[in-house]
Amino acid sequence: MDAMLETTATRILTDHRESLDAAWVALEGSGLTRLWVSEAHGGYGMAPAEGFGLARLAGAHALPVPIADTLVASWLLSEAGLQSPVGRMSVLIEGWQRGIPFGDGADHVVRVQGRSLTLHRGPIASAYAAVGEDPLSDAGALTGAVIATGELHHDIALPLAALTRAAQMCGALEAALTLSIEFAGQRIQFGRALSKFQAIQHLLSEMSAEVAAASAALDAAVATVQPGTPLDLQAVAVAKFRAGLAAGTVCEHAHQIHGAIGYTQEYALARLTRRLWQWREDFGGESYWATELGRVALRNQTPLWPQLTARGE
Amino acid sequence: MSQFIFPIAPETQEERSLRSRVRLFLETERAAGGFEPAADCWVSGVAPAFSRKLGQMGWIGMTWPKAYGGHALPTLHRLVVTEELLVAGAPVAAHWIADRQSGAQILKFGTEQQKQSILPRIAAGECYTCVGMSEPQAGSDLAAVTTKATKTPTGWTLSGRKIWSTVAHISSYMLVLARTSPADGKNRHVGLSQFLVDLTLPGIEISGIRDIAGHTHFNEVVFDDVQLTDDALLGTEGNGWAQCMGELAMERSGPERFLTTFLLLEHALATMPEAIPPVIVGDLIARLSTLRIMSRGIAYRLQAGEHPDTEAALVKQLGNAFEKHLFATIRGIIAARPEAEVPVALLRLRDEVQLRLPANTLRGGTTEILRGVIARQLGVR
Ligand SMILES: Cc1cc2nc3c(=O)[nH]c(=O)nc-3n(C[C@H](O)[C@H](O)[C@H](O)COP(=O)(O)OP(=O)(O)OC[C@H]3O[C@@H](n4cnc5c(N)ncnc54)[C@H](O)[C@@H]3O)c2cc1C
Repeated sequence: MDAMLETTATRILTDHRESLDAAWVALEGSGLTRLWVSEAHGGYGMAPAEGFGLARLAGAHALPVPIADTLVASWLLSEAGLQSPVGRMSVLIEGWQRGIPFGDGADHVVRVQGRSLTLHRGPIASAYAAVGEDPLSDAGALTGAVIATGELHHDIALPLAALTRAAQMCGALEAALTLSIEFAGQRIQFGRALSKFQAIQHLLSEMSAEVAAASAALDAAVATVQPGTPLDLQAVAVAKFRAGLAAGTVCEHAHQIHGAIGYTQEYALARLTRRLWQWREDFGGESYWATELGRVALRNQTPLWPQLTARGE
Repeated sequence: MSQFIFPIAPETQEERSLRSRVRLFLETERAAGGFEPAADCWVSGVAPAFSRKLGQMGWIGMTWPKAYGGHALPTLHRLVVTEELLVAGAPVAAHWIADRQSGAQILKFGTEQQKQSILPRIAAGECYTCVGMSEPQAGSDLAAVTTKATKTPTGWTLSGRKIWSTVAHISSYMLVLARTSPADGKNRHVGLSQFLVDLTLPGIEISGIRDIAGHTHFNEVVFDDVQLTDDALLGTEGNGWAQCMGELAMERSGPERFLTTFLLLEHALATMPEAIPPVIVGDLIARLSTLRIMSRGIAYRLQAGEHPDTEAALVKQLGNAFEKHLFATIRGIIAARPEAEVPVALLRLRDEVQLRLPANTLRGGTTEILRGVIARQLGVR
């Protein structure tokens, strides 16, 4: 991610932890919410990687603001030739979600059915409870007036949303690891820091390997993304699968290392793990994306290895 | 951000064409009866004639300078070749260690005379080497080695016992880690040195050890007052620990840490595709693809002259875990039906992999030791 963007985003996400409205105003004011709006539509038309970088950063900071969802919505609107309105946006991919993230605070909701896109006015009040930390609204309650319609040129909505989640997940995974390392260094039992116990060291090293793997898969997928072209489904599948797999191990170990304090609402860990558990289910879990990969491979008549290497990774 | 760095290195056009050439060569060799594909081929497949052919193709010592028989090619080219050799199950064990680590050590620390006389022969696939680190009482605790080298007027006297030395029985040289001066109190990493030992010298006894499957690919090597010339000291006296750690990074970083069981998956897909659900295939693809991305990242950094030692340990550990997962998965699918209904060749391969699997998480550093290496980088050790 561009160093200046990263500094700005980090400052906003850190400074406004206590006031979410102020955080949002600052994010919008700095143009960060419009990174993926094309220049033709009054945005910045930034390289895709910048938006994924921001989603990752936002995932690490774990603020309940719909930055990633707004980014995805704006990309889809640009792709459909539509202007992105100001304000918070949410995305509903028909047939995929039960809950609309941040629906209750959304100024607008982008709804995608196949390749048709409609822009609805928000908010959607009806709450839908799930494993995650962020508010969800019942997808069935989306009734707001349609204020624009458009068509997507490619089946981009699901992979784009999935890859954005993978980016958020990598941020949250790193943050959960960092938090666990710090905690293990400070918590004293039996007269020494937990991190002095080999069993704890090994949990941390396993976590870091998972984080590194998820991160490498994400970076590789992000490197394939070109605006205006379909996403590389294989690369997206690998990234979302690997992030989901890592989330399982990292959340489990992080909670084990933290003991009871990690099981409280107040302590910072749950903000990360609850989101990871939600995000790994969003827009296709590991099994969905693995099945996609497997189907393609099995349909192909050639052996697996030439298929894997043909992709040039 | 991330604790570990794995740059994304997309495949270049040259790499692609190199890959096709290697593949064509291997298909031709295989069709001509040049080899039978084997899992774990980089440890079990000793075939000097095949190694020489690879040398002729220019696929050994690829990254070394041309002056020493190398080909001055990028590390990523070597990665392409090693991947293809492993996936084909080609018999590459004879030269593997010389190509992977000993050659690089000689290049870095050897005398001009050693480089000129040994490296071209390694690159030709004619000269093999082995690793002399482990001893009966020094496994994971490598600094506990007691093999001793004592200074003489003309060189050194070497005494001690190395064990588990893969391919020592066909090797011309062993890179021996030995104590040259006492440890400095608690710091046992000082006083160790590395020696390039000519295995034809008097006083050396090499005896094979049968592995779990009855194969003799590793050995015990006894040094009984072996007289070494001065130039047998590789690198700097007392720098042996650091040199070995550098060597281990090369030993750990390659695709042999996740591709030795791939043959089993490919074979199962070819013979009973209907039995393997897409979700399982995709699961394995996603894990393997990630390992390949990471492994390319390491090669890229090695090429840039960096030292991704911890990343290498990390990928080895993830790779070992992947191989176990792959085996458990395919074994589980096979076990769902009576053996009589499973192709015999697939059963053989399954059994072969089962017998090789326990070694993966031991050699080159055990899982526990690698986790410790990673934990140190995380700052918790
Ligand atoms: C097939 C094969 C080929 C090999 N080839 C070579 C070769 O060519 N050259 C060579 O030098 N060596 C070679 N080795 C040896 C290999 O490097 C050692 O097996 C390895 O370093 C482990 O040492 P060990 O077997 O003595 O086990 P030990 O060190 O005794 O370990 C036994 C168990 O205890 C665990 N353990 C040990 N210390 C700790 C600790 N501090 N904390 C937690 N757990 C611990 C280990 O992880 C392991 O699970 C080979 C081994 C095999 C299996």
